[in-house]
Amino acid sequence: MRVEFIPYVVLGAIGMAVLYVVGNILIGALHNGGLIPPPTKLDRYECVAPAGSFSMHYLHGTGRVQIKSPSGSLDGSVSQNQFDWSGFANDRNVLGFAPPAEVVFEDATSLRISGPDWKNVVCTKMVEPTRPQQPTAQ
Amino acid sequence: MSRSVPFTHWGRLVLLSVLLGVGLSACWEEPKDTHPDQLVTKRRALFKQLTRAMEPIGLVANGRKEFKPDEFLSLVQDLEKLSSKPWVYFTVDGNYPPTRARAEVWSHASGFKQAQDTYIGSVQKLAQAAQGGKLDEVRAAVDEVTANCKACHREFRYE
Repeated sequence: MRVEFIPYVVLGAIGMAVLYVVGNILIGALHNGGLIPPPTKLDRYECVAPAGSFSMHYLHGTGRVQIKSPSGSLDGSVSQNQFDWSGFANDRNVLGFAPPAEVVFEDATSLRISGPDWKNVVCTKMVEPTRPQQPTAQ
Repeated sequence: MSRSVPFTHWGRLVLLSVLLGVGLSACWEEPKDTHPDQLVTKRRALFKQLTRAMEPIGLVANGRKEFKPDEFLSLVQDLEKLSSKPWVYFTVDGNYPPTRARAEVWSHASGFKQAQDTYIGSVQKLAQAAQGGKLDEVRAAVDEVTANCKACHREFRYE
């Protein structure tokens, strides 16, 4: 390739990338009715552990997870059944116990999780009542 | 027959800009939190949660979301639980990069504690207002919480 074409190739590649990103954003915005994509609703699981009850908000296949205890809540991520609580792995200040480290087993209705403070705690999936969507007041 | 010419000025400029961009982005990379207790990471995660918890409350207060007293109370109770959590991670050895906290957090610890208490107190007042279920009182209480957040940030955090 002739050297004088290099800038055109580089700029062309950058331009294509920009068009691709902007196009995707516009298509997504049209599809979602706005620039912010709707968050995927996580399933709620109620868990009974020796330290007390808590709930997990989790959906297989998504990376997000949330845990709520009477003392507080933590947001985290999950990958290959391992939880990542952003530094809170062995922290007991927020929840009152250390958050779970891994998903040991799951099926359509339950989740079994283990962590530093307990092993094989069973969490049962809660069925949320479906409500018709209310328009947001503007 | 193709004529081979040396790199044009334009070509050099593009390549230089790309290299400069890559180089600068590497320079601006934030230092990692290497503290064994990951204090800064924990503080940030909790403050992010606080911000997220405050968002729907703010939307109700400024009229962009419908005020449903029971739902609102639940949001405020979550905020109340969170409001006391981050402070324990501002330990004496907690002032290290990549923190955005000012040195005054540690050098003026009593002032920082006062700011925490004021903030927590205003969240508790908001919880009381939410229990009352009156939107006007809720709005005033939300304004107070927001003002206390801002005041603390002004004094104790680099923007």
